[in-house]
Amino acid sequence: MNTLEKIKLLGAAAKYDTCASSASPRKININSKNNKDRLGDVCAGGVCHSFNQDGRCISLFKVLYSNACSFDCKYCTNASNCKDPAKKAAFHPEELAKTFMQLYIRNYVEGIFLSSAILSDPDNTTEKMIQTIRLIRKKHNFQGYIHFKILPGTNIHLIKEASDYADRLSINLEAPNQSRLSEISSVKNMKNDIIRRQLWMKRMKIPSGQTTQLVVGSSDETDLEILKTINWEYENINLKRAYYSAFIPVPKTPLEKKDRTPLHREHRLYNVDFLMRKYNLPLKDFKQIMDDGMLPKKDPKLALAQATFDGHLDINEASYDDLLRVPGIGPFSAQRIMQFRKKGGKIKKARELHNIGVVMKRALPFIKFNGTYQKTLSEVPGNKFLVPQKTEVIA
Amino acid sequence: MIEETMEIAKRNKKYNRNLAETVLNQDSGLVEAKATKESRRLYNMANQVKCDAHRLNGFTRLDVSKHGILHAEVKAEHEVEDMVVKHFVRRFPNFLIVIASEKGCFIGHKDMKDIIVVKRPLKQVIKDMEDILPINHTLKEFEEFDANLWETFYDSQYLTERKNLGLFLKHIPKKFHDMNGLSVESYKFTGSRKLAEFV
Repeated sequence: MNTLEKIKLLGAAAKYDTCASSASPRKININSKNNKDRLGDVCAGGVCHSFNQDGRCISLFKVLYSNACSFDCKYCTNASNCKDPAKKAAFHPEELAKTFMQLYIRNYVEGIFLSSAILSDPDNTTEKMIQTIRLIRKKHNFQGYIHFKILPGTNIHLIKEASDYADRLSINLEAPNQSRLSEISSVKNMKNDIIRRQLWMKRMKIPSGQTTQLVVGSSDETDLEILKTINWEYENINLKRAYYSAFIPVPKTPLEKKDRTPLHREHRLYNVDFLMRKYNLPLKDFKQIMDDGMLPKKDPKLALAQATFDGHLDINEASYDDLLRVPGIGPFSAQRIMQFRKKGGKIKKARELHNIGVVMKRALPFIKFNGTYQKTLSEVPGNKFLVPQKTEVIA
Repeated sequence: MIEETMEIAKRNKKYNRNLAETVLNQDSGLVEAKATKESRRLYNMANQVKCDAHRLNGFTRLDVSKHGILHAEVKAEHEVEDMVVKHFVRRFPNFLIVIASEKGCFIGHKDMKDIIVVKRPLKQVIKDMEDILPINHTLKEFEEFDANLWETFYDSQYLTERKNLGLFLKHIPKKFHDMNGLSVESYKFTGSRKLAEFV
């Protein structure tokens, strides 16, 4: 099989891993000996090189080392129990390293995302993957971004060696707990194969930290189960961030007849994840807007504000944390408002808030300034458009 | 911070000195909070310049010359060619970077103090440099390139079940919109759909 055929197979097999981040805070020492032949660097913010018709960014050369797997994950096309498995292929480390460098030098990609199906055992496969990134770093003197996927059950020494070369390490949880994981895989153990590895990675120096991914909807887990696990991971594993991938039934797999998870469910999980990480809203607040452990279809921040606000928030007196709870006000707008107030300023007009960056149509129902606030229909006296609360029963 | 923003905004093709003077005369608290119409316009101008440079950093495809030159032609909306050259010089310190636009060829290297602008066609500039420079063994290894490599990889990453043309068109620069089987005329980025799609 030639390289193009391998890329077609192994690239397609890797596309379900949603991480496309290429940001790394690693500093490159331009005066070091290695800088003489250096190829590449990292950007603190990452760079997108293309977009696909699914709207997703393509910034990394995302491939599997091999798609021949000995595990039996029910959602996966590479699994050993797949009815009609795809053709099997594997790269050679030299071949993969050279192909990647060809694309990098021409600025098609920002870095490499290397994962793999598990050939015979995790250590054997990981050694081959490390051989590839060692070649990329040492032979080609590549100093750009590398995201290395840790396979469940990998030895700590191999994980340590991978952390010496990679900017980011990740290991996929796939499910929120052992009971849900056992519904989709009989081989993996959550505590021993995955969480233990995450705790090891927590002790290592990884420039962009570690991440994880969950498949949403492959077992019958609720959003609350997922968020509880992720919240625990953020607090105890120092997880950089989590990715959520809505379940898509793949033909010839045991779950091919299962319904596809609607994309809005993935979207709402990302909403709440950002609110927990960037806005510091605690998970317990979101429980009051959940129905049977599931998030509403409505925007979670809006639902939370409607459930918790008992009056209008004064923009000129509210704390930073209270401002963050208002729909339409994010961390940047809240910071600018606080900065403006620190310098003795007072917001008097809606236009000023709009200029600061507040999304007024979302924020107005919840805020007041200069003694005024947006009234609801029921507060307007003599409102002839008000729909009556009670309807008459006509016999 | 406002001075830094102004320096970047100066590169915007719609930059207006009167706007800058108005902003400098306003209250610094209001300006930093972007609470005035003029400060917001200035920040938006600076953001447009940064977005243009960021877009070129991502979408510029470099050609390789075995004489140690990486070169490309770009179409910049604002004055960002030198920013793009600096980005690639940082990334590839051992090669000569040549970025050509309608303003000329911008040439940079880690050992050069400033970026040089040469008002000649790119092909001519590359040919003249190749006559002087020796072969670079690193780039010689990568000179041959199969364009199908990228096409194959790009197609492999597409999740058909998550097709979202609106989001795709929003991100991709307009010059790439009319591609095989995809034209902006057939898909209006307003969210509305044609009757034929329901029938």
